[in-house]
Amino acid sequence: LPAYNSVVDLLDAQRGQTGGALSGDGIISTLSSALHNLTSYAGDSQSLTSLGIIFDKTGRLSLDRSTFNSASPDTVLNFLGDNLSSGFLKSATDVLNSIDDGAEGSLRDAMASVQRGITADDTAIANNQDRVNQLQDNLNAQMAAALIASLEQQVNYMTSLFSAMQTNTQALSK
Amino acid sequence: MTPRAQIAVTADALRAAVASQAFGEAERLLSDYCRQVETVIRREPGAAENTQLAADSVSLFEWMRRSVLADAAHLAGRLASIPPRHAYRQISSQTPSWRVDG
Repeated sequence: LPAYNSVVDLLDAQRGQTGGALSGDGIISTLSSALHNLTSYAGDSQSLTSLGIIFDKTGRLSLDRSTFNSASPDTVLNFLGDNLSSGFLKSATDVLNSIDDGAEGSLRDAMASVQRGITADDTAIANNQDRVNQLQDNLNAQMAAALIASLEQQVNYMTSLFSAMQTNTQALSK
Repeated sequence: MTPRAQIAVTADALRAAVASQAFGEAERLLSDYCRQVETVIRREPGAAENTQLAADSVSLFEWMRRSVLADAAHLAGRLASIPPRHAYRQISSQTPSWRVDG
């Protein structure tokens, strides 16, 4: 039960405006739906609730010990079944396989989708960086041209100033 | 700091700005440098150091001109090597579905 509730906590942390990086990602509703399928299993008129495993309002599980203890071991074993042929364990195995199947599981699809997003973002960043570099070169070229123009102007003025200075110095020395 | 020492400081800053391609800053420093040189020459017209100051100024201007022109040529080369943006557009190979042959 603590493991199940931890997963519910993790999924809740990805919801809402303050949700984590997977907020709005389809994998969150897929996993929530899988959890629902896992716990809604009912076989031979037995369910988790009838065995004392109950839901609270937040979707977390807790154990009603008196109900659980009053169930006969055969009833519990019959409900659990095994992971290959029938019962809760078979249902749970199927649900988990649908999520975590290496070739077709929902997690694999979600990871591939996120990876595609990352690749697209990397490409966009590289393209934008090229554009920024281009704009920077363009701006630098314009500023270099402005500096050359300013330099020509200042050189002309200063050359006249130096010539006048030289003329005055020569006149004073005569 | 004496006005002549201040000119030397500004000249160093100007060289650093040009060397690092900070052209906007260099333009501002050039204006400061010329104003400082002019002030010194007008304040002390017969000073013996003025001839050396003029020679240093001309040398600095020549170095600046060569450096900035070289940088500008380098930048122009880089910009020319960038393909035009429309080259990235994808041309659709689909035939318009509304065409009617008759």
